[in-house]
Amino acid sequence: MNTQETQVKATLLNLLKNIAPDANFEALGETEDIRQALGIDSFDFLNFMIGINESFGVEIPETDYGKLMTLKDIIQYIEAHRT
Amino acid sequence: MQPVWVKPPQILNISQRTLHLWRVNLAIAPDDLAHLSTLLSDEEAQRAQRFRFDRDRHRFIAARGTLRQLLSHYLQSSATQIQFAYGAHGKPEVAYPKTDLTFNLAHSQNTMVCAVTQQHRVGVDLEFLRETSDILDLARRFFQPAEFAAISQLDETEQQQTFFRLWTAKEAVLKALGSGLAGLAGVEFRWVGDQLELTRLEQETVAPSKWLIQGFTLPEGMGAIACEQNDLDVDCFEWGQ
Repeated sequence: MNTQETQVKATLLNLLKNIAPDANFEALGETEDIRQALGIDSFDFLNFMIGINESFGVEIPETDYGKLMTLKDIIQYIEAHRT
Repeated sequence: MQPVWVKPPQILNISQRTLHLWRVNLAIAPDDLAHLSTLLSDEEAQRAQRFRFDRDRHRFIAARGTLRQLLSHYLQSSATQIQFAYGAHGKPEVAYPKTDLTFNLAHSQNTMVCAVTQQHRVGVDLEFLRETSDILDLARRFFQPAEFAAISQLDETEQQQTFFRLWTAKEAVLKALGSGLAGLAGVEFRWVGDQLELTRLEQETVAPSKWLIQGFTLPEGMGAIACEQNDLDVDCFEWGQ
């Protein structure tokens, strides 16, 4: 993971900490299903998507939500779509 | 609806004309939890161990263990023998024993709800109500323009309630379809009086008007069931009474 990806990951974890403050982030693997691993519901997931939009300026269409299950998916998506 | 939760009959039978909605309290005694943990598959037990906090681990074990017990009554199979398969977006179904039984579950804090039918696609959602300052922003982003317009005309308290009522109905439909949130834009409702009516469902063979959509309230929050067959009787059972 390069420096930029590391920064993206840190920002994503901060967003998730605001949404699911009790979850175990140290144990969250990069290829793990985030919703299952952290026990966040669909409403929280929407807030996570909004947080990504506001933090990175990346608008994620709903049709892409199914591709964004893991930290790795999201980091790659952000890197590919941000200007 | 305000469900009337009753004790289930001794022998559980479900016809194609019936939907069973179960409410399960996940806050259970340590002895019961220990027993339920013995019912889990190896994969479920490993997943339980990944939770950092006992509270979350206990809820997961209680939910999965009780689900196995509950389904075993319908399937005439032992709880430990039931095997699950998962759809592309994680929707579980019974893989073994072979059955037409369908189910879906949702949990929020210490409550789980589970909808069971014979053959029909079914989804259920449950959300605890939380104060959200930007509810209109969420509605604008994730709901259809007419849905957003209807919510924006309400006062602030009603906006929260109506948002979650609509959200749980949409989520229940998506869960019935097994399509995940990617299908959100393809599901549209309108209000007819105080009832929600499904008006648009993209990439789906069953017409929106054929769907059963039923909201319900619990002290813990708000929920909804969605089923592709709209003329079913809904029976509400309390697990463990």
